[in-house]
Amino acid sequence: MRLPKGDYPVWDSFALTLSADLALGPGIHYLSGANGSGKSSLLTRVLLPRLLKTPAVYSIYFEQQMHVQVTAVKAYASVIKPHRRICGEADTVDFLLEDLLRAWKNEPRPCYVVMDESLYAERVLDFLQAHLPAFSLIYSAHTALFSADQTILFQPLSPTRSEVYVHHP
Amino acid sequence: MNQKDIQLLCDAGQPLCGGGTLREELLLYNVPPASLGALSAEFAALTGKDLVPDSDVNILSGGQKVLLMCLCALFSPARRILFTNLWHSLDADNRARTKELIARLRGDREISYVEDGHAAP
Repeated sequence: MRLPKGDYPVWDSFALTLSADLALGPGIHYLSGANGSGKSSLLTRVLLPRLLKTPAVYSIYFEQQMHVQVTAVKAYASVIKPHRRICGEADTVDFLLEDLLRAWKNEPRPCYVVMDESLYAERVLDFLQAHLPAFSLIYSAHTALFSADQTILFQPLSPTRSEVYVHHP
Repeated sequence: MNQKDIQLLCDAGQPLCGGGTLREELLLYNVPPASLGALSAEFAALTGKDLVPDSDVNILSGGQKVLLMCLCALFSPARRILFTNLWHSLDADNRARTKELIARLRGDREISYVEDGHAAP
């Protein structure tokens, strides 16, 4: 997955500027920036729509505030066979990861896992490393949780625009 | 129920409780209408965003929703407040600002915290 450089008007009054093409291949990609700098907007308004339109990959997304996602997964899990009882966020995370693995074993494809300030980041990474030979893990957090192949910084330029660029140490 | 046993639970994993406007959030927290101006001013100072009663709070970022939840709790009449995972969604600057805000607005209320995530208070 590659996001071309340029302006992305993600909301009526907020835009992101990618100063260079953003490559999100296999590996760990860490999104860093202050509250309101556009990390979630890049994930939900730019990256995820593109992933969903790409049939040749698997993608799952762990929301920052998971209550709606938990309800949706609970409803889905209650009607499939065999039934699976989902009691909370951790169960939801496990269910989605196992679903991804089942699909991948059935037909291997590139896997994209997107996490937005998830409380379950280590749990997700442990699972991916244990079960998949390669994956793209794209996560946002206010502190780096593990070693990343690429750090992507969000720098507010004004209340209506942030610049997004790869940090080269 | 004994009034002393009543606690306002504020879960940063679900910071908004209403249907989408600031007005609904304020009603749910029983924030006095006279406090709207002060609450909005605090929010603007934290985020640079101006809120009015009809503002759509669903379009706020995750961290900004948590800041709004915190302000609604502090401007509510609740005597006891429990914040769950309050710090996880906040960057370092906003954690410091929120600590200052709580210290300034808490009065004699009992405030406690539960944190499951990576961010220490």
